Parts: sequence; C-alpha cells; structure tokens
Amino acid sequence: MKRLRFYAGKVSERLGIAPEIASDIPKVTMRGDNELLIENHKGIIEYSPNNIRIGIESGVLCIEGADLFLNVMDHDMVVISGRIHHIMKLDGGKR
Amino acid sequence: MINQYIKGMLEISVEGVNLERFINRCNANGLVLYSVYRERYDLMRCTVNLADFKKIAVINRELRCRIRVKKRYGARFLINRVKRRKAFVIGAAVFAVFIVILSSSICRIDISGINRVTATQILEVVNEMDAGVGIFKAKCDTKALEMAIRRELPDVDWVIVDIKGVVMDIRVIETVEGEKRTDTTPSSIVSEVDGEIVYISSLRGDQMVNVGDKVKAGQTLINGIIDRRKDDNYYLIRNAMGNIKARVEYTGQAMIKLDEVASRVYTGNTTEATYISVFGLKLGDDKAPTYEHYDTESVEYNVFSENRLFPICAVKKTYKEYILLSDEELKSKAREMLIKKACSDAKRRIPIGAKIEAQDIDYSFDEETNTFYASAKITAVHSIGVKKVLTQSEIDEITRPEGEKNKNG
Repeated sequence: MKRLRFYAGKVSERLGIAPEIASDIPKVTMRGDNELLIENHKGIIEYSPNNIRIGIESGVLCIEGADLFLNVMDHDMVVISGRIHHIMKLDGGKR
Repeated sequence: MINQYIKGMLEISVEGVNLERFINRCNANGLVLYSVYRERYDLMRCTVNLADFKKIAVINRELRCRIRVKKRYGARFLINRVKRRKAFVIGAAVFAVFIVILSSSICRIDISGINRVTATQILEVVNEMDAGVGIFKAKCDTKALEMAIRRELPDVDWVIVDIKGVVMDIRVIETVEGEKRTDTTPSSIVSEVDGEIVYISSLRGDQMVNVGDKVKAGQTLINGIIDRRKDDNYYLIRNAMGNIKARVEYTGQAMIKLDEVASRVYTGNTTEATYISVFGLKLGDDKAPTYEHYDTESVEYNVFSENRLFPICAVKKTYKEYILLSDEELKSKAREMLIKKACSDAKRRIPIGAKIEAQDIDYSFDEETNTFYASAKITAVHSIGVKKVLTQSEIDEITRPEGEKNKNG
C-alpha cells in the first residue's frame, strides 16, 4: 500500500496533478482566523462548539476555539467556521 | 447553493447519543450536511438537501436518533405556498408588468439653458421626431434628435439629449450674438472736452493727434477722410472708429456761511418720560434729564377724541442731548462741508467710469461776511471721442482741389 501511494505520488507529480487529488493526503486551508477547510478527512471523531477532532490520513487534527460549527460537510471535505484558537495535529491512530 | 435552494432544503434537529457517528454515516452515504451546529451534547442542528432527507431516514433506522424538521427553505416550498394564493401571485405579476411598461417610456422632459429659444420650439421638434412624453425609450434616438434640434433652430449652438430613468434631459447651449457693423455713414471722431491725450488707438480712419497732445473740444482726433493722394491719388471716406482717452480737468466751486452751519451736534443720548395728563394734572414721572443742553419732543395721545369734555391724554416726551460747538470746531465743520460741496460740484460733470488721478482744493475765509469759499480741481482720465457725421459739403470742401479724384471707400 505504501509503495502504491509512493508511485501514485510520483505519477501525479509528473503529470502536474495536485497531490491531494491523486492520493489521500489531507489538505488544510485556513482563511483568516475563522474559517478552516480540510480536504481528504476520515470523519468526525469529536464535535462540540469548543473542540472538534477530525481524523486524517496520518493522525488526528484537533481544532480548538469558540462557537465552532461545521459550515459544510462532505465525504471528503469539511469547512469549519467560528473563532479558531488552536490547530493541532496528533500523530498516529485515532484517539 | 442556488441550485440547492431551488430544489429545497430542510433545517433539521438531531437528538441522540452518538452524533459524530450520525455525521460520519451521512458522509459515508454521500450526504452533504450544511451549517452543522452542536447545541448540546445530545442535540445538534444542520441543514440538508430535500433529496437527501429521505436517505437520512434510512440511515437513522439503525442509529435511532430523533430527527425533527425545524424549517423549510427553497423554491419548492414557496411554490406550494403560492399555489394556495393565486390571486396574490397574479396581482404581483400584473404589477411587475405595469412597472416595467411604465418605466420603459418617457414620462417627463426637462429643458435647460434656453434664453432666446423657447421651450415650445424645442418641444415641437421633439414631437416631430416622435420622441415626446409617452414614447418608449428604446424607440427614441437621442443622436438624431440632437441633430434635428440643431438643424431646425439656428440659435442653438449645441444640444445634449440624455435619458435618465423616465426623464429626458435636454441641455441647450445657445449661440452668442456678435456685434454687427451696420453704420457705414462717413464720420470722424472729435474731442468732447479739452484735455491732454494719454491713449489713442485708431481702428479706422486717419489719426490726427498723438499721446501728449493737448486738444480742444471739437478738435478732430480721428479723421474719416483719409488722404491717399500720395500713394493712390484719391481720398478714402470712412466711418472712423477708435478709442481715445485724455486727462481732463474739472473744477467746482462752493461757498458756505458760518451761520448756516449747525452749531449743535447731537450726542445720541436720549431719555424718555411718559405721563398721563388729566384735566391739566400730570400723573406720572416727568423729571427733566440731567443733560446740559437738550431738545424736547413731545407726542400726545388723546384718550377721547377732541378731548372736550374729558381732557385726558397720554404724553410721551423725548429729550435729546446735544453739545454746542466751539468757534474752532464750527469752522472745521464748515470747512469739511465746503470741501464736500466743491468736490461734488466738480464731480457731477465727470462721466461714469472715469479714473480720478488727482484732487486739489483751495479755500479761503472772508471774516467780514463770515463766509467760506472753496474751489476744487479734479483731474480725471476718461474716453473723450464722439462721432461727428461728415456732411457732403464738408467732404466736398476737403476733397475738392483740382485734378484730383474722389473715391468713396
């Protein structure tokens, strides 16, 4: 599986395709301090207005803030809005 | 988002234990959740598409969350509501159509910048071009209308036609009338008064004087008979034209007797007293003022007319303070009045627009008659040329010499 991913990455690089499209690499885009776009997520682990934990390919992404809500949620993309104070990535499996 | 709105969306509340599981299950089944907000540990709100709601019901069988629909959005629900109120919809549609029709035609014409040209003339041209009130804006060709107005009205130099909303704005710029030369009568320019030339500019005719020359009243300054005998062997008869300015002296005299000068000067201080007079008795305050010198003015208001049987009246007295001038002050005042009189006597002959250069005043006092005498001399610069028409006899007299031809220019 790792080798497949490695080759997929190389092919997409040669063809000029964005890596997050070709593989499961998560992509996090932050706009200002109140909107966060996460692509290629693995689902919601925990959700509350102050704390959201989202599973990604290589671990868990923790978002801490206030008045957080999921603006749009799709099978591979989630937009989190609200006052974001902290973004942390925890390595390893889901916790 | 617009597409989703047209198809319909529902705001639902989900009550249950493991809400994260619910969200993940929805995502795994390809459902998109919008505006997910967690109100409590076991309650959250979100918005879903109408088409996806049926799938949520299927997912929820296993999760057993309590799902309630809170709000409905979308054109689909709107259409359902509208179906029950057809008259309102038809009325709104008719109203919209009327608004569109009315706002697409011209309702008013504003015209500005006209002076010699009248609004009626412009409106006639507008109506001829089928561009008046009530005409559709799309049918109105503003460029053609501008050209038509300029063509039909020669007094219009430029015109701008602009349609703003339902108003047609016509801004006109009229031509400026130039001076027309109509007088071709042979004439010369002569001096109106005695003076010294300070400026001369001859536009047509023979210049007879120069700057610095002293001229008399009636003297020719620019001759309408131009002597061309040397070059072309004839006289040219013209309507002379030019501008001549000269320095002219004006004198004025005045005299004033010392007795005629008022020796009193009012200070402006006044005191008023009012009282009622009943059968000759004074009821009220009538104290004399504390001024050294004063004049008294008294006004009576009768209570009953004519006051025969009941002589009752209200009296208002005004005391005005004045001071008496000493001899020196009186003479000084007399001198001032005299100078003013002499200057105004001199100035009344000076034409309007003249530039006054200098002013000299001489005065004397005759002690026997107590009279002041003054003479003012004012020097002013102004235009002195006036047209003098040349009669045929004058022309013949000048141009007569034998063997020479005359030509009228």
